[in-house]
Amino acid sequence: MSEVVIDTNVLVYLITDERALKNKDQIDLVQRAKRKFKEVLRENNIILSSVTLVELANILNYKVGVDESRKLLEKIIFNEKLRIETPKPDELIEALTISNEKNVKYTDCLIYLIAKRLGAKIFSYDTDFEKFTDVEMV
Amino acid sequence: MANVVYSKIDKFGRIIIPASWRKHMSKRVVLIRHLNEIILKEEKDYLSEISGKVKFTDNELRNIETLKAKGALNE
Repeated sequence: MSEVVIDTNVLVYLITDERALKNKDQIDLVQRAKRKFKEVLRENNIILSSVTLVELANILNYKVGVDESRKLLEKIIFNEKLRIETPKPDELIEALTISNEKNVKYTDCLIYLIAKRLGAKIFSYDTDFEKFTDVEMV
Repeated sequence: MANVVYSKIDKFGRIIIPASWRKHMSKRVVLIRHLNEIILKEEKDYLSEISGKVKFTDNELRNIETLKAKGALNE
């Protein structure tokens, strides 16, 4: 089974209650992301970088407080179809260089390097990942 | 206390799960091979467990990077 590294924006769309949104394009985007995630989950093992989890934990803590954040994070983290990967020390350094060269956020460079190391694809709605030609997007 | 049954695996790899156990169970399961054990777990609808739990505004979703920054600062 192939592997897909999920970016933070995908998880944000997943946890979003689209009934609270007003803009039709945003609602469509969230619904499309949920459908696509379901497909990706069916056919692949899901990888989450620890960086993504930190970003998600911060967002959740800000939006719903510690108790609800904890419940949601537990459901994400303790899922057998999902594995958490942490950047290696050399990747933490290399990401700095790539971030500067490609003008891509440092955290996204870490996700890219994890995907590259694992031979995995990336699932994200951030177009910056298109700057990396040696890793496939789903 | 755990319920235990002994069951055979037939030549096609099929195994019988007692009907009473299957009554409220999902039709899909996950088999996990770990060391010398095979664990059979009900496949939960992963998406529904986390889906739609947080109310974001249109603006927050349009600017996820800002949302991340606000989260990091816990503003």
